[in-house]
Amino acid sequence: MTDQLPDLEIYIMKANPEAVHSWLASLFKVEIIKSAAGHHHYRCNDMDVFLNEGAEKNFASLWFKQNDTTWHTDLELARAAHSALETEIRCSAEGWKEGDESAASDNGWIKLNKGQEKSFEWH
Amino acid sequence: MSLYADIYPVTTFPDLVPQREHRNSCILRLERLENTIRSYHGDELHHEWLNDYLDAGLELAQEAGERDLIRLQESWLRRIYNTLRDTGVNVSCDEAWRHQCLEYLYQPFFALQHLYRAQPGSNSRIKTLSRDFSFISRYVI
Repeated sequence: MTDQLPDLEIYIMKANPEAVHSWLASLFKVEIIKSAAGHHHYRCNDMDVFLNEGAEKNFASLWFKQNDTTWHTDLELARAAHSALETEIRCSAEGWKEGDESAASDNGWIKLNKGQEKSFEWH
Repeated sequence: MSLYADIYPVTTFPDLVPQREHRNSCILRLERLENTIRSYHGDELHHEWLNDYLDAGLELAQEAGERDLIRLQESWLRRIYNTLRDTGVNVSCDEAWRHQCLEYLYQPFFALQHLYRAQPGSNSRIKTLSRDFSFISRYVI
């Protein structure tokens, strides 16, 4: 069984903050703590969640600083986000996880696009 | 009316442009050095390549960390660790060069260890990394 990661982070292509907020609000009780200049801080139940729009090229970072969700890994969160937001999502393949010798770990990242999952090397 | 219209005006983040350009040039420098390091088969040692490579990689990692991009920060550190480790065990490279690459491995190792120690619940990552580093250290000796 996969251990629950203490935090979760994914990268969302051309993220629409309103769509992300709506998606989070469909899952958690969401309070907007701060929202300015591309940086959004939400309180989702008791978790601090940050959306940073200018994270990397066309990608925004969505970071659950605490993980009180049902998602164990970034990939599980990425799958949920990809399904809900219908845009490309990237996440770390967690190459250092013990016993993880999957091909996905070789390149460090997983890209979810149009229902497909593919490992790749970012940059 | 958009929920974000008042609190989130449309912007192109002009203050981020120089940062982005600097980051892109840093990435290019890192990629060039990485190719050079991995493909070098000479016996002359080049500390300056390794120092520049580490500077670029650690700077990119630090910059990602300052922006709370935790996975990207880890990814940069893992990348320089893997480059030095892979080159160090690549038997087609000169032995002196391989040895030198492995001597620099402790820097990304400590940076990764520091990163994982700051994250609760990262024990399995520390363990896996330490085991890898320990194996490589024994290999060098």
